[in-house]
Amino acid sequence: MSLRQRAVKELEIQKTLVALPPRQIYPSTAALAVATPVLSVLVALVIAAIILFLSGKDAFFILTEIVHTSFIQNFSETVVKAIPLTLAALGVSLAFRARLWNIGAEGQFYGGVLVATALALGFPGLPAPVIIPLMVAGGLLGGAIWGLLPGLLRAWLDVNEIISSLMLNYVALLLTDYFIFGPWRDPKGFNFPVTATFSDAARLPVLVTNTRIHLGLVFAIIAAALVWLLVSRTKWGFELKVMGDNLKAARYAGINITRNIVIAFLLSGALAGLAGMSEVTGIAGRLQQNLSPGYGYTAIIIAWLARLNPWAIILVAVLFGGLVSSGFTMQRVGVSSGLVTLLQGIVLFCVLGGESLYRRLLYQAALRRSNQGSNQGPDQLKDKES
Amino acid sequence: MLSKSEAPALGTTAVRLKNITKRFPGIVANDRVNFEVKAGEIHALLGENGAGKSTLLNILAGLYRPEEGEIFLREEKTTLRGPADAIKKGVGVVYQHFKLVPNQTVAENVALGMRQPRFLLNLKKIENDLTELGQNYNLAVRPATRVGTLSVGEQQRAEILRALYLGATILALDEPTANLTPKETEGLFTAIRRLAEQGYAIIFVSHKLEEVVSLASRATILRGGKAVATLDLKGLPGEKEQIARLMIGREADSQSELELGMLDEVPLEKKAAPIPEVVSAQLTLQVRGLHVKGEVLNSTVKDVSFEVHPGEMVGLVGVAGNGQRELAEALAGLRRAERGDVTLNGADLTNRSARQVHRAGVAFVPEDRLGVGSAAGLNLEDNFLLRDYWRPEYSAGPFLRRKAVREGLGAAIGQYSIAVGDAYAPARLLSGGNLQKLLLARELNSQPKLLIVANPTRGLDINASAYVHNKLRQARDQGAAVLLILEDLDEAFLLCDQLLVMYEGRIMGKLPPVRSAANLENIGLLMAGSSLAATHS
Ligand SMILES: Nc1ncnc2c1ncn2[C@@H]1O[C@H](COP(=O)(O)OP(=O)(O)OP(=O)(O)O)[C@@H](O)[C@H]1O
Ligand SMILES: [Mg+2]
Repeated sequence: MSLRQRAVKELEIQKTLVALPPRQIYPSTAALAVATPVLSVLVALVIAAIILFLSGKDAFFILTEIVHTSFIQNFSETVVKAIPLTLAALGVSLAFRARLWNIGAEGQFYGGVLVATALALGFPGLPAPVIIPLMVAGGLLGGAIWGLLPGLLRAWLDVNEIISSLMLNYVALLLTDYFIFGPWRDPKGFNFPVTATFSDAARLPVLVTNTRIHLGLVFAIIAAALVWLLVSRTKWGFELKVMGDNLKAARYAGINITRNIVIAFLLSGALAGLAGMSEVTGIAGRLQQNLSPGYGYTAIIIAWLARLNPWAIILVAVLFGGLVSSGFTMQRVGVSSGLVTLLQGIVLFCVLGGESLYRRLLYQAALRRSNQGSNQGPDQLKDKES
Repeated sequence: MLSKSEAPALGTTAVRLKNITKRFPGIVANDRVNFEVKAGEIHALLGENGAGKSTLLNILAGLYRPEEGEIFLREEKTTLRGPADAIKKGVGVVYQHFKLVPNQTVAENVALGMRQPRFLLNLKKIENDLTELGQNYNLAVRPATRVGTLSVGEQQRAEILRALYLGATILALDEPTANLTPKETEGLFTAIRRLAEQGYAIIFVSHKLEEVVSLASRATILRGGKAVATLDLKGLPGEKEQIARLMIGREADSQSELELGMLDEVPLEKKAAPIPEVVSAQLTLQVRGLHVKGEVLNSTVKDVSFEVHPGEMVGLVGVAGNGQRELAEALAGLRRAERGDVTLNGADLTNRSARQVHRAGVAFVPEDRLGVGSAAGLNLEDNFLLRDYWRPEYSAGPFLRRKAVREGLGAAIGQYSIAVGDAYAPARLLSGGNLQKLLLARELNSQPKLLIVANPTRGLDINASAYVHNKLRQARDQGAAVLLILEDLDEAFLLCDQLLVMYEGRIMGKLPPVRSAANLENIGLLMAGSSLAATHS
């Protein structure tokens, strides 16, 4: 190759360097993560309106009433519900990233509840600055232990984690029953299956006066930030992503798959445990039956809809928090509870069914954008530089 | 019942594509392409990596809808509403990556594509028909065998038979010879010629111009998504050069010309540079008595010993499936060795983890680029980072340095001219050749002491091949030990300093890369499993 040729080649290389295609063309997952739930809810509202109309109700009134109560008048209750949902969904999202199907968030939630309760009941005299960090650690630990089991089984023996994590949900629930019917039952509780009320120090402080919004909100936001940092900025997050895409490639990349499976389950469980701990110490103030109306299961749906994006998880958790609390509103305005469930189902359906549609829409939009760009011809390079 | 539609009369137009345009974000993959194939013709579709060949076939297969343009089948304007519709209209496409269901038999796979008997399946009949069809066209398969257990060549024959059985009269083959042994290739060509004689229209994609000029009667050349020319191939000298020029749009690099055989005599001294004594004293890779359990008995590595010195390029040649893959994986830390040991510069690497081996300076490009070599659902940046994310270059403490990665990727895209529309699209959307370039760029980037590459130029166009060859030579000349797994002997002769012939998991002998008749015969013998009788030491 002559010197001239080489120089030309060098120049070509530099040109290509500049022309590294821009990021916006492909719909980023973050855009999808926000678009999917928002669009779905809108579509669902329309369908819901039609159904209500057909069943002879004043659809407009009912829907505005729901939106009004859930998201304006009683928004604080929506937030209260969103706290455990966010934490648990962040937890499962971590495992899902590596395509580990941890559906045991419900059990891990109770893992956190049990340890936190044990601490609250065991050390009633400790002041808040001591007992609260202790309970936070306990909640994380309890959930982690509950997550550890399916993680180890999967990592070492290749036992299907769906089944093992699901089964452990029942174990956790029964264990909780055992404690509140047995050793932890409040002697002054008229034989109800509840524990004694926690000391005031062992209650998470309320953040906003006249509401039930508690310190757990801060935990949820911090957790979202940490999860975001972990998955998008760290080597470990990258490893999870590779494992989720192709295990063989992960092996080829030199990733320690066994270890990562265990860690993913530990962290996943720990976050669900923190959700349980905040709920029992922030809302209930004692351990009772049915502490969770299935938060751990709803969390799976939330994580999925948010496309595992931590910020979107907060958003979707608030939407679902609103959906949960809308049940009361609808009954108040004369919609039967069956219809309430139906409406919640429609939202879900729209979200799940709509996803591929939104993806296509975004893709088409991207295609249009990029073609407009390429029609400009030689100016294109300049555009990309600026 | 099923209509095995008659092939149209010879010479009539079977396919005509008019002004076909297909866009992807950031790229026009097919740009007003005109393309025509006659019945009874073998028509080659050529172009550099990313020129849009597979995209055009996907349009014919009904997988992609073109944004503009018209499709005529047998002079009749049609739209292809999907793969099933294309099959119904007589178009069969065999893809670069096969699409049969591995867990089902060949006959069952064929039945899956049939629409006629909705409920009652006569598998026996299908099996018999397939056997008969196979005999007619030199496409032998075992119809009752599960696809997953078939060799690559047999899977491909099954794909072709499936298309024929479902009534295809237009058959498009996307790089069908990339994974075949020379003998299988020969067999495939016989089949293709026979089909063409019967009036089938054959579209044939390949990067091997040698094959193209010997097989095809016409060739259409794509460049940057545009059809730049259609040539009649008459077997005249200079045709290959003409094609290459049209593909590239300028003169081929002198290196590519040399490799194309455009410059007839390759000076032998030029490539087989003797290893300086000083260097060879210090061994790089040393393998002693290695045993590795294989996928099948034939590919179980048995008692393999050899060395690769720094500054040496060794070719492991042999028919695919004789333990080459298992050996390479064991060396790369991806498969356990049962006995024996591996050392690199004296350090023991036997059964170390993939990371330890990589850290010790072993780079590896596996055979299966999509399934093992890349996380194909992730974008180019992530795939560029795949093996090196832990290096201080790209990370600080627990954090990744994305900016450094982007710079590295940008440089690689420029240097290897990887054609991408969007660096943030998933890697699986790259054209076959471009994915390959990305992997090579990544592995060479780490300046390895030992570089193991399986079929380095499979699926690459001429210039890219030459470029990769140069990169490999460069790595060698800078003192890396290079081990190539090669099925293509020509490439082995061109590149290697030493050849090791592998058969049924054993190394049968070590030969110089000399193209003498005696040497060729010896290699042939060793590849077929017979040992050499006193002809060579
Ligand atoms: N589904 C898709 N989405 C986005 N881009 C695509 C898609 N399919 C192909 N491309 C892009 O279109 C261009 C043409 O790709 P195509 O696969 O047709 O090339 P090819 O000629 O078959 O190349 P090769 O010889 O390497 O197989 C490439 O740049 C590729 O990255
Ligand atoms: Mg292709």
